[in-house]
Amino acid sequence: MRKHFLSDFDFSILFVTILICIIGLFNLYSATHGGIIGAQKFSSQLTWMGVGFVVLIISTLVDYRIIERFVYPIFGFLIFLLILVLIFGTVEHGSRRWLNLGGPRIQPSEFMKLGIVLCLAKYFHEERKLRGYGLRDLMIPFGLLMIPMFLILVEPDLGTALMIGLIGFSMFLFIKMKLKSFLIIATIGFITVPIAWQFVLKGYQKERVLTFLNPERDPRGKGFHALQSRIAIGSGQFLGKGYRKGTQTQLNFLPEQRTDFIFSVFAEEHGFKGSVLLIGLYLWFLSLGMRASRRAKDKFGALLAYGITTIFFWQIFVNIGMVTGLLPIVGVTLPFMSYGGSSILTSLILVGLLINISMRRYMF
Amino acid sequence: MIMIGQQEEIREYKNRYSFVFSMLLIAFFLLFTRIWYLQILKGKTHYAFSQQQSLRQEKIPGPRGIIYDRHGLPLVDNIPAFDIALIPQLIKNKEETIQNVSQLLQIETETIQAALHKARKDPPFQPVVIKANVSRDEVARVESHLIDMPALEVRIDITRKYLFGEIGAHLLGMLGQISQAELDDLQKQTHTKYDQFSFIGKSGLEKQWEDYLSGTDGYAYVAVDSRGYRRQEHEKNIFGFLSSIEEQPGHNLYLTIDQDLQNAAYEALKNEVGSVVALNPKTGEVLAMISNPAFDATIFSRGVPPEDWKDLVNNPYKPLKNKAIQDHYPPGSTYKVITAIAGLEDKKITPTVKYNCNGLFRYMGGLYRCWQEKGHGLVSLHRAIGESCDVFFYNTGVLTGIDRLAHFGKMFGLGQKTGILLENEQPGLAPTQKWRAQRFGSPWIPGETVSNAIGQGFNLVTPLQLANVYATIANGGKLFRPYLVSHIETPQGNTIKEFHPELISEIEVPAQTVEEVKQGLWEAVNKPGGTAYYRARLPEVDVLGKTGTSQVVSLKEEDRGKKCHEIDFKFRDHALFAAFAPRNDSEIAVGVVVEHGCHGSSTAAPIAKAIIEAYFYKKKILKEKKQKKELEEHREESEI
Repeated sequence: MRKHFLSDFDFSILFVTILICIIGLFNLYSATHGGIIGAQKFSSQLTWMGVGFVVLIISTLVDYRIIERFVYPIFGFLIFLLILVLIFGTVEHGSRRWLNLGGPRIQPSEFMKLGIVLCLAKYFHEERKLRGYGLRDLMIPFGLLMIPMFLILVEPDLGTALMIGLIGFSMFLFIKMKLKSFLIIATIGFITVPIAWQFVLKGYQKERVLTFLNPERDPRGKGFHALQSRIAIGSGQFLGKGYRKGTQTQLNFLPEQRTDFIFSVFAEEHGFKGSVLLIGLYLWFLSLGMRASRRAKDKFGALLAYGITTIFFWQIFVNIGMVTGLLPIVGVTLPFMSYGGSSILTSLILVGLLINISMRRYMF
Repeated sequence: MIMIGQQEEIREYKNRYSFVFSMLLIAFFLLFTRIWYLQILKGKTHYAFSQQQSLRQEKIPGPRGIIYDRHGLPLVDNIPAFDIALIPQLIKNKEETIQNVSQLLQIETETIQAALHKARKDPPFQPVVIKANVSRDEVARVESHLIDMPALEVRIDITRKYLFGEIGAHLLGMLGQISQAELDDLQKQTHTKYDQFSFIGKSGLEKQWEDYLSGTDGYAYVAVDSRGYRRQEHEKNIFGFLSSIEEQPGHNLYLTIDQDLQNAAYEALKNEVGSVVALNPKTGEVLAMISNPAFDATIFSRGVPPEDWKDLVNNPYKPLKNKAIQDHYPPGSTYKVITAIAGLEDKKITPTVKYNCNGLFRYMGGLYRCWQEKGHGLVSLHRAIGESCDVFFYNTGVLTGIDRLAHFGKMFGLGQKTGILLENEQPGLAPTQKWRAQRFGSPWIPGETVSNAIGQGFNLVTPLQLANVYATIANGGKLFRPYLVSHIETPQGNTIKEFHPELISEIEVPAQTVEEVKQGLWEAVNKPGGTAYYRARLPEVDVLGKTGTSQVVSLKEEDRGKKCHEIDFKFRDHALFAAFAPRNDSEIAVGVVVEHGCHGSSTAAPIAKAIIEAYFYKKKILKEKKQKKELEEHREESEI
C-alpha cells in the first residue's frame, strides 16, 4: 500500500482545493478591511487551514473500507449527540444547536451531513436490489434520513435540516429506483411542503422566505441584506472594482462579509471575470469529486464519494444562489472561502475522504 | 465474494454519472446566468446605485427607564450629553482645520491628529469624536462656528444622570459597556436589543432590572453615497422609501425608597465608613439603604475613566461594595435580643430572674469580662438589655446552648439571605455545633457559646439582616422579605408589574415574650442609664433600640487600656445600632453599622436617631399639608 501512496494520490483535487483556499485567504483580508483586524483574521484562517491540511492528510491514510465497518456506530453516536443537544445544548437566537464541551463548542448537525452520507452509502452498499429499489425497500433508508432531519428541525435549524434533506434526496436519486416509487415520493413531497409551511415553519422562517420572494418588502431586515448583496455583486461589472476597493464591502454596506456573504466581496472586487474563474474552479472541483466516485471499485466508495460531492455541491449552490438572490438567505457558508475554523476544518476532512477513495481505485 | 455482484451494480451506475453531471452543469449554468445578469446586463445600474446612494442604518439609542422614589421623585434620569466630532470627508484643509478646532475647543492639536489617525480606516462619513462630554457653553461656541467649519459636528448622546450624586449609589448601581461574555449571554435570550456598543446595568438595581429598564434602539435609514456623503432629502431615492424603526424607551421603576430618608441617612453617615438600612416593619419595604464611601455613577455612564476606576478599586474602604448587603459583621450586643428570646422561650430564664454582675464571668476555666468593668450588680432582663449587661447574657447563653441560639436566630432571619432582589447578598452566619464540625472538623468548645451569646465569636450579620431582625421584633414576629421596587410602569404609564409584601414566616413566639424584649429595648433608649439614653431618644416618639460594639480583633497588649480612638483605625471596634419606632404599630426599623466606629452608643445610635427623626418629621409635614389642603377644600365648598 505504501509504495502506491504517492503515485496514486489524487493531486488534482488537492491542487484545486489549495487554489481556492489561497483565493479565499486574500479575499478574506479584503473583507476584513485589512489593517490589524485583517491581519488577525488572515492568520487565524491560515492557521486553521494549516491544521485542516494536516487532518486532510491523516484522513487519506486510513483505508475508507476500514471506516465502512464503523459507519453505524458513528451514525448512532451522531444521533445520540443530536439528542444531547436538544437536552443540554446552548440556546442562541432562539434555537438549540450547540453542545458546549467546556472548551470547544460543537454543532453535531454539521457533522450529520457527512453522517447521513456514510449511513446511506453503507445501507445501499449492503442492501443490493438489482432490479431497482421499490417503495418498501426505501422505507428503512428513508427513516434513517428522517430521524436526524426531525431532530434538527426541532432545534430548530431549518437551514441545516434542509441541507441534509437535499443531500439525502441526491443520494436517493442516484441509486436505482423503480419509476413508480419515484413518482410516489415526488407526489408526497408536493403535498408535504404546503403543510410544513402552515404548521412547521416558525414566523421568522416564513418571513425569510417571503422576503426572498420580494426583497423590496422590507429594506431593513433580510431584504436589505439581499439587496445590498445584489448591488455589491452587480456593481463589480466585468472587471471588478479592484482588490480592496469594493465600496459596498469597505463601507460595510454588505452584511456578514466574512462568512455568508464572502462571495459578494469577491464578485464586487473582481467582477464577472473573477466570479467566472471562482465558480469555474468550484465546478472543476466538483467534477473531480464525481470522477473519484465513478472510478471507485466498490459500491460504498462510489456512493460515499458521490455523497461528499453533493455536500459540497449544495453548499456552493445554495450559498452563491442566496447571495445572488436566487435563493432565500439561510445561513450557509461557502467552502474554503468563508471565515471560520469549523467550516474550513470539516471541508478539508471531506476533501481528505475524497482523495482517500480516489487513490484506492487500483487496490483490488 | 461480495465484490462480484458489486461490479455489476457499479456498472449500472456508470450511465447515472452523465445524468448527474448534466444536472451539475445545469445548476452551474443557472449561477453563471444569474451572475451575468447581475454584473453584465444590470452591471451599470448596480454600479450607479453603489456609487450614488445606499441606505445606511443610523442607530437612535432607546433611552433607559427612569427610576423614581416612593413619592414619584426621579432619582435617575437621562440627559443629553454633547460630543464634538469631526467628519473626515468634509475636512478641506486638514492643517488649518486642526489648528482652528484646537483653538476653539482648547485641546492639543496632537489629540485631534491622534483621533483622526486612529479612525483613518473607518468610512470617511463616520464622525470622529475629538472631545467628549463638552459643556453647553462649548456647544454654543461650536455651533456659532459651524458655518465656517462644516466638518465640525455636535453629536448628542444620552447619558445616565444620577440626580442625587453619591446618595444611594450602591442601591441604584451603575452602567458600563457590555462585555463580550455578557453580550453572548444576552444574545442567547433576545435577538437584536444589544450590540457591542451597548451599555448595560453592571450593579445594583440597574443590573437587577436590566431587562425592564433598558430601552430598545431605533434605526433611521439615511441615504448616503459610497464616499459617505449624505444625499439631500429631495434627491431621488432608488429604494422609494425611507422608513425607520422608532426607538422604544425602557420601563420606569418605582422604588419603596423615600429619598428624604436617603438624604438624611447619607448626611448622618457621611463621615463614616459603613451602612444604614431602614425598613417598614409592616411590609418589608426598604425605605433607605446607604453605604459609605460611595461613588457618583454619573461619571461612569458613558464609560469609566481608567484612573477613576483604579482609585475606586484600590480604595481600602471598598466604595464599590454595597455594605448593607454585601458585607457582614459580628452583631455584638444587638444580638442579645436573640439570646433573651431563646432564654425565655426555653424557660431558662424568666423576666424577673436576676443575675449578679461583678464585671467578670468564669466558665469552664475561661474568664469573660463585662464591658462595664465594675459590673452592673444584680440585673434582671429589662435592665440587662437596657444597660447591655454581658454577664446576664453569658449566663443565659450557657443555659440555652449554641444550637438553640442559632435556632431562634434563624427564625428571625439570621444566617440566611433575606432574599432581597440585589446581587451578591451575603447570608451572614448563625453558628451551630454541626456547622463548626463541618467548617473546622472539630467539635464545639463550650466556652465559645459564651462569646457567641453576646454576638461575638462566629456570628455574622449584614446590616439589612440586622434591620430585619428588629423589624420582626417590632411587628411582633412577622418575618418579611425586604423589597425595593413597588411597581414597574411602561413609558405610557401602565403598571406591568407590582410587588406586594411577602411574608416569609410568622414566628411562633408568644406576644408576651416579645413584649418583655421590647421593654428592655425601650429602657435602653428611654430610661436613664440605658446605653442609648443620650444618643437616640426623641421627644415626640418612643424609640426602641439596642447598641452593639463588636470586636474586630482581640486587643493587642500594647493597645490595652488605650481609648478606642487612639488605636489604629483598622483595629477599632465596629459600632452598631438597631432600632424601631414607635413602640406599638411600629412604622420604621433601622439597622446601622459603622465600621471601626468604636462605640455603638456614641457613633451608630445618633445616625439611627437622625433617620427616625427625619421619618417622623416628614410624616408631620405631610400631615399638616394634608390638613391644610382639606381645610382649603372645606372653605371652598362653604364659599360655594
